[in-house]
Amino acid sequence: MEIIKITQISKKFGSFLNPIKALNDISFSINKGEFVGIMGPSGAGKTTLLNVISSAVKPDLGMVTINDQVLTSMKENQLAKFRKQNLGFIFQDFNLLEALTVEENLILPLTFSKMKKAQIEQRLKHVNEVLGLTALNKRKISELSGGQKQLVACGRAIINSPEVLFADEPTGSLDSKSATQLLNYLEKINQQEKTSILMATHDAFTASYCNRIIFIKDGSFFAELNANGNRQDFFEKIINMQKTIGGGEFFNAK
Amino acid sequence: MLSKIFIKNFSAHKSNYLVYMMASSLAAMIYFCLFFVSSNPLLTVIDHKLQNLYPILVFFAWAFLFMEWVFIAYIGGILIVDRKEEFQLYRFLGISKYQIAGGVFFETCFIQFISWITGFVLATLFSKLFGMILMKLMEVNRTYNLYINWKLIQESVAVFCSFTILLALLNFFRVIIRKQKIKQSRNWQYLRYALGLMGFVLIVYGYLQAGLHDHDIYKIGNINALNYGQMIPIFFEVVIGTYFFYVGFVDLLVTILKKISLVKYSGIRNLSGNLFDKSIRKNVSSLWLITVISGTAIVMLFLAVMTYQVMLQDNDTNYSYDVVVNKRQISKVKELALENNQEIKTVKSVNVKQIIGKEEGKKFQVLSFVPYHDYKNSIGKKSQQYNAKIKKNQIMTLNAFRRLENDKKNTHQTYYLSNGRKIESELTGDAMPIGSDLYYGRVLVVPDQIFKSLSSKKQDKIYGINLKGSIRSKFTRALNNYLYDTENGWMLYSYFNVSGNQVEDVKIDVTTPPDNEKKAYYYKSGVNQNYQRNQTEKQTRGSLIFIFSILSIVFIIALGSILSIKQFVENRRNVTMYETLKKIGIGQTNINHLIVSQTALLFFLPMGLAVSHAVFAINYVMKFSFNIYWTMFLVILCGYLLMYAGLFLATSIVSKRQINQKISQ
Repeated sequence: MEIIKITQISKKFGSFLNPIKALNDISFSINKGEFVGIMGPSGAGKTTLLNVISSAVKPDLGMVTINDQVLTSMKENQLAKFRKQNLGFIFQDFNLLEALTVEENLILPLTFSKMKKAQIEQRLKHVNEVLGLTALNKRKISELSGGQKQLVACGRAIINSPEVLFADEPTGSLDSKSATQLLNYLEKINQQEKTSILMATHDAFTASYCNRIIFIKDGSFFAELNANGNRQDFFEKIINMQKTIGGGEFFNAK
Repeated sequence: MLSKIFIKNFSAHKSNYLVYMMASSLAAMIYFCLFFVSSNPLLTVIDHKLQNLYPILVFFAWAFLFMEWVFIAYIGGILIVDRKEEFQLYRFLGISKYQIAGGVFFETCFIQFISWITGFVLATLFSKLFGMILMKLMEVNRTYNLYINWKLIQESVAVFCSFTILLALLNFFRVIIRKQKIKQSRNWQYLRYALGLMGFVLIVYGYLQAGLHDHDIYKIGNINALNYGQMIPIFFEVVIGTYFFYVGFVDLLVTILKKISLVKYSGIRNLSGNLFDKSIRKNVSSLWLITVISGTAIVMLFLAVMTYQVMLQDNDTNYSYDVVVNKRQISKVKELALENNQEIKTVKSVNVKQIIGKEEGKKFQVLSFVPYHDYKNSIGKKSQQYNAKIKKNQIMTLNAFRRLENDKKNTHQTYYLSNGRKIESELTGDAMPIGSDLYYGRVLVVPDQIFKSLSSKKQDKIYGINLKGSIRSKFTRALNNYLYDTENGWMLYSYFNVSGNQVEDVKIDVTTPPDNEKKAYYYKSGVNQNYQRNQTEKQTRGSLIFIFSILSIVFIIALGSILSIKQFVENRRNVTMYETLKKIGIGQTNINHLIVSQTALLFFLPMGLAVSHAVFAINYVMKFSFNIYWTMFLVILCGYLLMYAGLFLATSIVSKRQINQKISQ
């Protein structure tokens, strides 16, 4: 069952006289419960694509549908409500609010929804159980390590039980141990909560956790890879695709 | 290249610089306006007798200039700290700190130049309005024309140069000696809580002490009646308490509110509380100063308005006629008026009987009795408004200068006359019939029947004359010559011997005092001219209210603009947080709500505390229980709050625009 469908998305930045094509006629869809990666070299348009799908940036052309709702035709207030109820976000630089404690950061999206105290506490308890954050709840953000911060960001992203979780380079600022821990949790969320995950990354190991990877280059669709159960094989396929996308064919030919 | 970078920076921080320049221009405008008004030839003409308005206006013009310098220097400091990262970037690009400081020096000069030019243009446009307001307040019916003193402008160029160079040098050295190390602040959370709590307790203790006092300088009529030994500790309790309050009380309050779940589960309340707490910690000294200065400004303006009212009412109740004269002198004064072409508008009179008597428990003295109907006809509407309401069968004691409050207490007093007759007074009033100067001793208003039945050795009639049109100087000179000539014999002589409760050998008459007799038995009672005195008073009270109103408005604008700039700086620091909120799906409405609540907390906490301090400070110096005080206080407060609300609205609109532009980029 399709949860995300994007059709002929295009986006340009820059001035009218000197436009830069960030996305060019991209179309694909994601099924419910899928863990999809978006890969490509720097400047390929991964973050822009993620932002367009998550409705943070409006496309110039094309349509984005999530859960049968057309985001590209929604008004600002409707979009905000939709994002708050259906989407979760994890960023490379965590984007936690230093002024608040871990617990306050976790429940932040719910407190803006005027949700009742009992419901908030119930959701918090659940997230704490899934991600093992109970011991950190009363701490300040400045007292956490990078890995812990990203786990808190992950907790904040899933506290509203989103249909889709967007992760933009979530392991980019983490050491390998923390990155593995986070990816295991993301996998757990995907399998246990049936949350669809769309993750932009340039790291092959991180991408190997996905079920499917969409490669883009210079703002256009380049290729797609599907995992066939074995992560090691999938990892190698990703590396090869990266070589290809980065000019590997040229070197192989030589 | 550096100049291009500075121009780029200027446009990036335009909200801050706009507020900075507007406040500077306004201060420069007031400086120019005060000098233009003070040097206007019309003021010299109307002020020839007083010669006090010019130095007052000039003094305040210089005071404004000094305050403007302090204010701009302070704001300049905030803006330089805000540009810390920008300066670091310049250093990375290889620009020396002397080059950066030089850029800041010229930038300061440029901003000041623009501000002073704008201030001058505004002063040219508005100084006529200032002058007209001053004339209106001084009740001078003359046409005020714009007057620009070119000599003053030449002097102002010199003032501007020194003012600006000092300011630019200060900013130059701020950049040069700026510490590179980032100050690591320790948390000291529990110490802050303790200090915050102590601050709160100190404020409440100060309030209690102030609230329990029952002074009233307007009732007593003497500012020295205040107990400074008590007042100074209360002042320090509240001022120091306010500082500690900002150090930790808001933090403590937010923590408590979180514990009782009032704040924790509301995103806006929680974030507002936390951000405000963080912002307070960075701005303790500024908020403290703003609170103390705002409170002082409110008290100052209130006391100025009260003094204005007191002077006005004092004038209405005690000096309501241009000339006051008794029956022996009325024909002479009319003759002088005729001789000098001075037209008379109205003449009113009251009959007076002077009798030796005493208030219960006090010594014998001369008492003046006035019949009810004469009294009612002699006092004006304004005097009646604040005076105790008397019925025709009641007796009222008059105390001149009781002032302002409509004394609801019907103070009962008993008088014993020299013939043994007992008079019971039920009321106390303050509006004196035909002014206050020609009566001897305590004045009593009695029913017409009682007045007729009183036997007196001395009966007089006092006339109040109001002159028509402008008062002729020839008449003034002639009247003054007559007034100050003691040979004209208009002294009231009273002499009596007291033996126990009996009064013997009573003499009371209007006569010329012989040189060899004791002057103590004589009292001037014949003619009194009030119009010069009234004119002086009008000018004094007009200039008083003019100066204090301007001073208060400048305070509000200066303090409000400090808060605006602080808020803009805070916005820039918090922009990442707003971006995060937007990214995680928090709607624009909630973000706007958060920005407005942040601005509101920053604006209205100091204002709220300042108002509260002002109420208790005013309560200390006067009895804050009469409606007239409250009405006046509320009017002043509304004016203050309106101006503050205007600044708050402007700041929140600009803040919203600033943040929304950033987060939608």
